Amino acid sequence: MNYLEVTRVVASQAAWRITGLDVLGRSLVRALDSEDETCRTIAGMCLTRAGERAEHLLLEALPQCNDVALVISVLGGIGDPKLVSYLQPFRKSSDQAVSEAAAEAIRVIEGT
Amino acid sequence: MTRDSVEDPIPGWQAFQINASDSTLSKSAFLLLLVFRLTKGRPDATWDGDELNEAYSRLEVPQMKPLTRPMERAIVLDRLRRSVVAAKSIQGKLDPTFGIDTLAKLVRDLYTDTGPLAAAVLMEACLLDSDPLVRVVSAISLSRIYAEQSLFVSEIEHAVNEEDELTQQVGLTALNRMKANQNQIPVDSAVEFEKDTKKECTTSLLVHGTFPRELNPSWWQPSGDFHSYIESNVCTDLFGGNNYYKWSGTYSHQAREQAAKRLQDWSNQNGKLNHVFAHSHGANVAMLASQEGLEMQKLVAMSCPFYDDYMPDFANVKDVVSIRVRFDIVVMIDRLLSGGRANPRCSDIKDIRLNEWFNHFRTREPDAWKKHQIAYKI
Repeated sequence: MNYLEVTRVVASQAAWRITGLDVLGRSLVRALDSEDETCRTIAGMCLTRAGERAEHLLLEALPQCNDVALVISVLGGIGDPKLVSYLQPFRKSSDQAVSEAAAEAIRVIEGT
Repeated sequence: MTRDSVEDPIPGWQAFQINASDSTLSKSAFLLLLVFRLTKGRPDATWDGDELNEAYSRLEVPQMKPLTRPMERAIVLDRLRRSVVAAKSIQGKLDPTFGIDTLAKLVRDLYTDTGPLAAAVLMEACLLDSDPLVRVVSAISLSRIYAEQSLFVSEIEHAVNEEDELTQQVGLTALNRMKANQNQIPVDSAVEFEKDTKKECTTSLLVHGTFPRELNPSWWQPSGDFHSYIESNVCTDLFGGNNYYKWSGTYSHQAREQAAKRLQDWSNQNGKLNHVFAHSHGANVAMLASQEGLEMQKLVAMSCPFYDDYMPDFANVKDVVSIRVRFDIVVMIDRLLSGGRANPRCSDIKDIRLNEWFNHFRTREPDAWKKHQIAYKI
């Protein structure tokens, strides 16, 4: 576990919560690509709980992030019905992890 | 410490007369085969008669009269005392004069006197062997021929702490078996029990937590490192088919509810659940499913954030064990984000806290299971 990176993620979360600055939210989104499992998980949990505030940051990260399946899973956890239209195209992804994540996220959002 | 592989096992009578590391495995195998002779047993169900006969033949295991009832240890120790003049102390204390000549004599006795007593005497002598593998195998062998298994628990527990991985594994397997036998079932009930279990297919299962990474294979998938460890060392009935259980791993209550429903459906198709090993919110998924009626023998919750809403229905889960590290960072943040509905303590849940800090994923690493002997503790 990378303690320094974990500390940075936790600090970013706290600061983002207080200030609402996108730059801090983006650092959490970048942490989804971390090699460190703890960092990825904490960032994913915080972004999910942030809800609507995190949506545009996650959507803008989707085209260039490394772990698309994880970003999609976070979007699914937010649960906003309007995200379904953004997730639908990923169901046809050639990457099985991505297509499955999109299908699961849509199922969670739609409650099916 | 690693052991060289053996292509040509050394016959038993010879293995005990040479003081070389490559005789250790042959000595251990010889002792176990003696027990199989005495108890008319087999190593496991996959060994057919030909394979066992080949092992008897290659290691030149003498024919033995099978035991008709458990042996008395006092008689065995008395025979050992009389057989071995040099053995001044045989009550578990290592006697440096108890060396290779003594063992050679005891093995010779075994080939001239094929009664169970000579075999038991050799096993008792091997409790003092310099190699931990031979010692633990002796202890296991003796526990099979005496009525009182508990006499050898401490020797087997020592094996679990040895550096040699094979010795550790042998010790762990034996302890688990002994633990299972502690819940002794009367003979008549045992027959009924056997009939019952044959009626229904049961399986054990791994359940991942939030945001599982789709590595190939990941820890929880068949062939993943933790899956392989559990299947080899803890639950041989661990599900390993292609249609293994998985859920979205999404961080929301709704996702866990859907996952719980899916777990019920999965169990309906694949068999009743025996042991469920679940990490993080995966354990909450299993507990939610129990609230909806899903039965399981045991839930092993690894680094689970316990909450009131997810508490299991103990009528459906016979045993819940929590394994956790100290101040698990992910669990602490989960509690902060979830607004303090935590239920970290419940008297019905057995709590195993590892003496390690912070790392949420440590509890599902094979290395941690070996280091902390978790397989035995659960």
